[in-house]
This record gives sequence, structure tokens and C-alpha cells, in this order.
Amino acid sequence: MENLLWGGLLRFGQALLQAAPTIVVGLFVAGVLRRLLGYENTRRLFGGDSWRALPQAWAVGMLLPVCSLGVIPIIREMRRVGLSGGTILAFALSAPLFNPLSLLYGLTLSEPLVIFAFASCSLLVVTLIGMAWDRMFPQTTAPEPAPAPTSYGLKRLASILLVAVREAAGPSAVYILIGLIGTVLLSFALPPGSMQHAVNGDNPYAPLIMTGVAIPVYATPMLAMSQLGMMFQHGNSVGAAFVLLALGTGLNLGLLVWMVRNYGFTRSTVWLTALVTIVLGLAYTVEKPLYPTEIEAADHTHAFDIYCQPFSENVVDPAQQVWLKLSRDALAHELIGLGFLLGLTVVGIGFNTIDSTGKTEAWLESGAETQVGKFDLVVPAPVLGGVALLGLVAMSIVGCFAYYPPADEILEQMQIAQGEALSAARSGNHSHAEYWIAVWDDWTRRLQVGVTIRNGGLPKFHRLKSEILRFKLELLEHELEDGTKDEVWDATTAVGDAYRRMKFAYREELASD
Amino acid sequence: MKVGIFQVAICGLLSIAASGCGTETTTSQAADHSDEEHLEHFVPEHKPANFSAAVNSIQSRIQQLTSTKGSRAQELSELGEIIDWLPEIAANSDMRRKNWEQVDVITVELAALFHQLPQQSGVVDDDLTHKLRTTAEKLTPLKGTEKGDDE
Repeated sequence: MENLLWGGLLRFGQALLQAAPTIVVGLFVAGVLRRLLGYENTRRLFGGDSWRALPQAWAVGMLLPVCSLGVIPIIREMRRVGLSGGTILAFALSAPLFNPLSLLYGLTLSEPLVIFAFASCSLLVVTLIGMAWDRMFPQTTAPEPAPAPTSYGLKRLASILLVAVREAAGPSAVYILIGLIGTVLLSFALPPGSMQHAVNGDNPYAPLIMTGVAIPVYATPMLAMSQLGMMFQHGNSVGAAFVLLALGTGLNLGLLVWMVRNYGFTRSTVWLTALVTIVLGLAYTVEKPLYPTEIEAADHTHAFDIYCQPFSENVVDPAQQVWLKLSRDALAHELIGLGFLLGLTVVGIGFNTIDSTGKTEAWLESGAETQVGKFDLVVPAPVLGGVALLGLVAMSIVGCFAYYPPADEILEQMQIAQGEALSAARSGNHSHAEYWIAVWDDWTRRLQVGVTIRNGGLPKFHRLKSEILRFKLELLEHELEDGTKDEVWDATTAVGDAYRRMKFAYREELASD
Repeated sequence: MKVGIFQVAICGLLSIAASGCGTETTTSQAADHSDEEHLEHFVPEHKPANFSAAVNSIQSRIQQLTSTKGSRAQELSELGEIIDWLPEIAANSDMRRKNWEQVDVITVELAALFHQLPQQSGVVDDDLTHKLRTTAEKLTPLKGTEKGDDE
């Protein structure tokens, strides 16, 4: 029981770390929509009441770097400005499907075209269901009065921050928390490694099982993309992969609770039933035709271990394990995001406690548009809002180049991963080796994307070299699990050879392209 | 009243989720978990160990096509797989890029010809067999380049 609870805490912490950066983005986007873009322009951004609303909503969503939890503050703003339920739900489900980072990551997967076709199908499904929603429940909008404009300058900036902090400690925080609890409940329900065989290609129940997992689960766009890649690589159920993308990335418990709260239990149930029915129908339709026949199917996958209970009964001191895993796995941008999120939440709790009647907002709105200096040029708030949103998109593109650095930098990082992983594997330190194998695997994908975005493409030769290294890494992982010392040694030699060849190809044989 | 519905909905959804996920933890799957020691990637017996072996295998299998009588579905399926594996097998060696690209081009030609073969029993066009043999012959000079010491 103790291990179960600590395991749940670990899953909560991992999900919170992954979500923190995009939740912060979502909070600030909500602030920009409310205070800079304004109600009318926000409605225009998402297509208002026109036929373009649904496709426009998911187009905007794909440009914003948000996940299924980060969309919550934004959809609250969308509801506030009176957008239709169909548009809001289409945005909520489609925005997390893709972001620039995950889109590029998708290029490294073994079946990129199929995966992008899946994503397009998912977009189509959420759009059609959104249209059906608007037709079935036309009177579900709930516009609120627009807030008064704020003074130019610092007051205007402070008003955006105030929206973010109030949401970080307000209703958005509650829904986000419920969304995160979904991952904890899932870890309680799934014993360690229990998903390894559940979505095998020959399991007719795989799409159904994945539906049960995908609804409560929280998956970042990157995580879902990598899981999809692993599913294709392992010859897992294609239908289950589609369910994971369509439901796993966009849905979570927090979003469902938000729906029930805003649209009622019956409407939400109808919507969810329709969504699940269509997604499952499509999943079973594509199961056979799209199954990759050219690969050697493995009888398992580790892609979903992250949703299961992490500790078996014989783990000692799980509390320390939780701390070790979280401190070891946390990436720099996740820690920065978490720091920002905690800061916003603490300040928000302070504001919501001390100033629950909105006196601060009233002060920020007082004297609006009267304090303009002689040489000041007034930039209208919607222009600033547009620039802020475009800036966010531009920053996420710049972020892609930072996340996927040049080949030389990546190969230096790989050198470290190689030393750590292979020496740990040979000396019997399996957990250390497994950690560095995952890091190394990730760098191989970043290498592919880094070269692709700088050179405008990646030769098939280099893609294969990376795939072979990943395959050898996976074999080494398996030998670490159940192989003899000699088998582990042989696997490390094979990995070392594959790495040497890949490094040579990227260092010496790329320029000849 | 609204708050009450909200709370009931939360509890309902959480319990639905919990019980729904419970279906994942069936006894059979728990039993599956005990089979972890059997986790492995299946490597077919006919998968050649290296590039030269793959070339030999393709050439000899094409040679046997004309002599095989009756159903040859199994042989054809294996030949098709070996042709598909060829670029990967070549890349899993020290073969240089320019040689590998030749292998890749020849593989595409071979695959195109292979797919023209009648997949069950039937008369194999002599001309097609000849083309297959000639194309496979182009791989012969590349044998040994997987050691990467040709430059």
C-alpha cells in the first residue's frame, strides 16, 4: 500500500513536471486574450460564429505550445467571450495533438506519414463532433461582460499577470489538478509493466483497452508522439495507436469535469459517447489495413510503463526512489516551468485571499487611456495582443532550434550518454544504464530533427543509421532485464559499433549529400 | 445545488475512470507480466547475418525460382523479406554511404521486379527471372564493402 501511494505521487510529480511549462504558457495566453486581445478580437481569432470557427480553432491551437492541461485556462477564456461549445471543444482536443516540437519529433518516427494521417483524422473527428455539438446544443454559449480597459504601460502588463496568477490559484488550477489526479488513479489501477502486452497487434481488445487508459491519462504532445512511434516500431495495434492519439493527447479528467460543470452531465455524456464511438469505430476500421507488415513485431512495448505503478512490492524506501527519479528525470525547461507555476500559484493564492472582490482590477482599470505622455505612442491593446501571440509562435520556432541543436553539439552529448550507459551496463548497474539508454535514444531523435531543420532534409542512409542504433539500444535494454552477463556484454558491443557507424555517417558523410 | 452536481460529477468520473482502468489489470495480464523474462524481438531464421550473406541468399533464391515446382509461397515471401531488409542490413555495417546508396537503388529495382512475380504457383516468366537475376548480379561487386575499407 505504501509503495502504491508513493508510486502515485511519482506519477503525479512526473506529469506535473511535464505539464508545467505549457500550463504557464496557457495561463499567460489567457491573460493576453482577456486583457490585450479583448473579447471581440478573441472571438475573431477563433472564427466567431462563422463556419470557419472549428478549423480556425484547431489551426490556432496547433500553433500554440500547449498541452491538454495548458488549454484549460484558454478554454475558460473562450467560453467567457461567448464562443460556441463545438469550437471550444474542437480547440481543446486539437491544440494538444501537435505543437512545433512534437511535429518535428514526428519526422523521426518509423511511420511518419501514417502518424500524420492519424492526426489529420483526429482533427477531422473533433471538427465533425464539434459541428454536431453546435447543431444539437445551439444555446450553450455563456458570454460574460467584457472587462474595462486598463491604463497603458505597466498597469496593462500587470493586468495580464493578474489574470495568470488568479487562474493559477483559481478554477483552472482545480481542473488541472483533477487532470493530474487521472494519472495517479491510473497508476493505482495498473500494476507495474501491465501494459507491456495489452496493446499487442494480435490483441483484438487493444483499442478498447487503450480507450480505458487514454481518457484519464495525461500525455504531452511529445510523449504521445514518441509512444506512437514505439507502437509502430513494435508492431503494436494500429487501432490502439489511433485511440491514443485521438483521446490520449486531448482528453483528461480535468477537461471532462470542466465540460460537466459548464455544459451539464447529459450533454457531456452524449459528446463523450459520440467521440469514443467514432474513434473506436475508426480504430477498428484501420486496424488491419494500416498494420505495418514490413516490421518484425515484438511481443511487448515499454511505451506505457510510465502510466503503470512504478514500484513493485519488493522496492525498499520508495520515498527516496521518488525523489531520486524526479530529481534525475527533471529537465531544465520543466524545472523552470514548475518554478514559474509555483510562483504564480503562491501569488495567486495571496491575491485570491486578500483581494477576492477584484479591487486590484478596479485600480488597474482606473484612469484608463488618460495618462499618455507627450512623446508616448499609444499602441492599441489588440495590436499588442496579436504581437504577443505571434511572438509566442515565433519563440516556439526558435525553441525548436534550441531543443534540436546542431549535430556536433548532440554528438558531444551522446558521447557522455555512451560512456555512462555502456560502463553502467557492463558493471551491472542496470538502473543507471537504463536511464542513460533513454537519454541516448532521445538524443538520436534530436539529432535527426536537428539535421533536418538545418539542412532541409535527412538522407535515408542517416535515418537508418539512427534507427539501427535505437534498435540496438532497445536490445541492450532487454538484455539488462533478463540477459546473462555475456549477453549484456555482447549487446553493449553491438551498441558501440552502431554508435561508431552512426557518428561517422553524421560527421563525415553528411556533407556529400 | 449546482455545487452538489459538480461534486457528484467529479466523484462519478473519478470512479468511472478508476473502475474503467481496473479492466486493464485482469488476471491474465498480471500473469503476462510474470512472463517478462521472455520479452524479445523475434528475428526470423531466414534473416541473413550480414550484407554478403544477404546477397548470396537473394541470388541463390532467385536461381531456385525456376526449379521450384508447385506452391512456392513460403520461398517467395522469404525472398521478398530479404530484399526489403537489404538496405537495413547494409546500413548495419561499415559500408560507406556511396556504396549503400547503390545498394538502395538496386533494392528498389529488385523489389519492383519481385512484385511482378506470380505470388502463388504459376509459370514464372523467363524474361522476368532473367531480369531479376541480372539485377541481383549488380550486388556482387558490392559484397565485402560492408567492411568499409574500400576507400
